[in-house]
Amino acid sequence: MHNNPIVINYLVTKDDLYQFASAWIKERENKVERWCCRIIGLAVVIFGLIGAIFLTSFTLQRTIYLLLIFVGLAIGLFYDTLHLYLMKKKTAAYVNHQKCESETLFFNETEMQIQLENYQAIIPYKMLYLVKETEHLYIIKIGMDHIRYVPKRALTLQERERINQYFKTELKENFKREGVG
Amino acid sequence: MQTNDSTPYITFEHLFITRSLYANAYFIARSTASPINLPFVRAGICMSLAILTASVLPLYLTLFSSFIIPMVGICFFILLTIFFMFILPCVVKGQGAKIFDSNKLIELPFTISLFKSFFEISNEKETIRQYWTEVDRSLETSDMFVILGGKQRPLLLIEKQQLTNEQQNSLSSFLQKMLAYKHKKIT
Repeated sequence: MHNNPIVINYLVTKDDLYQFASAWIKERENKVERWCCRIIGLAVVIFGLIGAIFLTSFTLQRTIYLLLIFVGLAIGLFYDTLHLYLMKKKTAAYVNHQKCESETLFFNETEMQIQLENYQAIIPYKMLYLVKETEHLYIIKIGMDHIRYVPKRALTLQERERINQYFKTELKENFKREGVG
Repeated sequence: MQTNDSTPYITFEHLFITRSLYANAYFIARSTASPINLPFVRAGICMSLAILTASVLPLYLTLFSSFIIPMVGICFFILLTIFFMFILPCVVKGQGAKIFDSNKLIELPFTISLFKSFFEISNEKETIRQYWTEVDRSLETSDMFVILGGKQRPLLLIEKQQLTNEQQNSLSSFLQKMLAYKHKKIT
């Protein structure tokens, strides 16, 4: 058992912000919305095809049905094409908008302490909503709308193991690991 | 204003936020972000489109002896109207309630002190200092004050019922002076 807390003091870099924004945006992606778009798109395409082939003999009406097919394709493929581009733009905007400040965090067995210029908190792990370990970061969700992150580069291997142990013990299923060996 | 940054202009103590109040505030914040977000604006647009589609139905029928596409269009826009007017507000309020449930720190009773250049929220577990320049906008409704913006507490609400009339008036005038055009009264 370690009694001394893990102290992390680091300066946020643009790369950290980029990693966080990418992870955050990926997490916020709504799978239901994505599949709804695909299904609606497919339904419109099928309706357009049926209409164009079986329901009309007029050129103008056939053009309307063909336009419907394009609308269906645009809806169905939105998440796989335009959405990716929009997300990249959003990430870049977030990174450019944020300040790179120094942050100090303390982790002990049952709680974490955050000391920032405008924010001080002592939060028991049990009060956290979710913690996710990714390849480069620990994403700490205090609530769905209040998220902090800790770049793993600021921690040694032993410190990471200790923190993982704390989270596993206190958070149980609310501690998730993604893309980590 | 006769305050400096060491003495607060006003301090409100023993405030608390309930789940339903937070859900309402979240809905108000989302729907007032832009006129297009207002349910009746969206529903109005969809209803107008449904009427517009209905107006081309006779022409379509004459040209193609069929009314499938306009009818599909009318039904689609009517369904969208119902969705924007009645279903989406409930969904947004539900999201607000979910956020409230997820963050155990919001539930804690808190004190808020208003200074000239910032305000400070403190509860049993945290102290947040948020500068007025970080605030996107503030709203005053018949039953609450909502301050939006900032990284740590993007939605702060103060229920009017928890304040005396005098406190309500001084907070309202303080927000008006401090945030000027960012402060909006919603009746």
